[in-house]
Amino acid sequence: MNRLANAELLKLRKRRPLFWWTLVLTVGVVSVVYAIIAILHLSDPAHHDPAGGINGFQGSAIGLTLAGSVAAIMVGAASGTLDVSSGVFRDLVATGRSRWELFAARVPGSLALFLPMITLGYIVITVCSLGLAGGTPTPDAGLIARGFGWVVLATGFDLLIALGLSSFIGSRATAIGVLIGWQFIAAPLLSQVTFLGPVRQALFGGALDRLAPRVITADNGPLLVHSAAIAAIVLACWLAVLLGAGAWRTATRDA
Amino acid sequence: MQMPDASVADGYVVETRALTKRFGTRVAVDAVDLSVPAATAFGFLGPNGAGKTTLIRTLLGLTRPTSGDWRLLGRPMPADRAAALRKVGAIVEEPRFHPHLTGRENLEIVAAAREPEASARIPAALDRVGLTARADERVSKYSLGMRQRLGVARCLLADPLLLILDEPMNGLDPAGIQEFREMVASLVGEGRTVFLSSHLLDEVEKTCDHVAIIDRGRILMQGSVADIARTGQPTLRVRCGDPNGATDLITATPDVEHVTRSGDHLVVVLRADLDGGSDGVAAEVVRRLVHAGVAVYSIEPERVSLEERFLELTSRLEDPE
Repeated sequence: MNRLANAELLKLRKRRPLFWWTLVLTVGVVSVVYAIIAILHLSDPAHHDPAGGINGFQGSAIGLTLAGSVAAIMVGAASGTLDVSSGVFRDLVATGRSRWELFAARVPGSLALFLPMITLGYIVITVCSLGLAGGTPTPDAGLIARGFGWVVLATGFDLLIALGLSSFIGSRATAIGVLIGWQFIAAPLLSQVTFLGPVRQALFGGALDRLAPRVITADNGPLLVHSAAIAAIVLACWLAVLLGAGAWRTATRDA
Repeated sequence: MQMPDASVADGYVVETRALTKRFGTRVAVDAVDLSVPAATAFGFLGPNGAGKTTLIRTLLGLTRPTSGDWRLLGRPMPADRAAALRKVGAIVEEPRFHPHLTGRENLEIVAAAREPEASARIPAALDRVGLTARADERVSKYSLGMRQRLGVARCLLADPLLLILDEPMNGLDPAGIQEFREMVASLVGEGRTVFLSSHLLDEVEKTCDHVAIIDRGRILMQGSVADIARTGQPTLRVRCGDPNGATDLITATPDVEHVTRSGDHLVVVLRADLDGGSDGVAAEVVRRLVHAGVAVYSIEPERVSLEERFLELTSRLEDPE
């Protein structure tokens, strides 16, 4: 499995546009935003707060999660379709290797590309929120650690569902379109439809909000999911369904 | 190279029994019984759309057959698929690669799916197909011929007992075809079996020693190339001094069915059920012509090419009768 995962990482790492866009979305965006706010603060401290501190940390953690989610969806969708779209899937199956193993190797392979980048992005926001606080309150170690766990959970979740969905439908572009449309348009709208009542707890965005440090998601309004256990179950169900569908399709498709 | 299983060494590397694959109502592979002897270059001939690639995909377990049984390297498929395919290298249709990776990296991808020793075979495989110097270029820059050779290198990572190559000579220039023919001969010389699917009859005849002919999903004939080429009606070609006078003399010879004129030759068709070959008839024809004072310049058995045999077999299918 380790060799297969390394091979998966090689395939993704050498796709230059994917690599650089992932780096831009995970590290570049937060770096640029911090730089702009820092310059604004330096030029007009009366009207612009310091870039760092707890406020900067909150905004940048949300920003990193949003941009990181797009990057995660791109990586996951690429991982789920690279072999099929290039025609190499047939040759891998013809080696006699289990199709389940071929699918399973995509998980560590794609995470191995993505997690170092999202970690680097989080290091940037941590350093900036502490170093550019300008005398305002700064996040403590506990919040930084919980924030990191949540950013990794939220973006890693997006990567895995993109991997599962793209493996299932066999189209990278469609999977990216569906997931970005769902995550940034459809799901936020559905979460506002009050007559859906507790059904809205099945939306994974609400479940991720429930598991986030409250300081980070304070501006998102009331929580849709009341229990952390329910949130965990919702996320597990989404993962099980989409990864299961992707694995099943990989195991049964004509090669 | 590892020695083949005892069951393989004694017999066939591919055996199918009534193997059938349907797509809806269309029968792509129709009750195929195929036996591929070990350590041979086996040509799998058929026109486009005959079912060659579908049969290969079925043999490799890439698609499920509708019915029938098959064994690969003596192992029942698909039950023992992983063990059988461990020693099989295959190119199905055109060889496909990740275009953004180099040739060497593409081999590393497939080696990772094979046993750990496969990675160590990459340099030798690249060397054998003559791609060492270009191995670190992206495959997107490769010609079709180079991709074909890289496909063969990918097969060699398995240290295969059986290589299944689907139309491997597409895109090769004449020198490449010659090199490929020599490589097939050397692989067979090492005790491996090369199963070579092609519609290039001449190349199969030059490269392979056994052949099966498929059309419309059915195996029409299989056996050694020499046997299949001989299976047509025995024929002699005679060049002599007085063709017109010789025609009557030869027609009256026992076991001669009929004689026709072809340029400066006479084509003498013998009885299909002739025992003991055409030598006896040839000797009698020469004796009669010489006795009649007709100068005989040459007489030889006419060799039926694989192409003629192939066209004869496949055109027979097109005949509604």
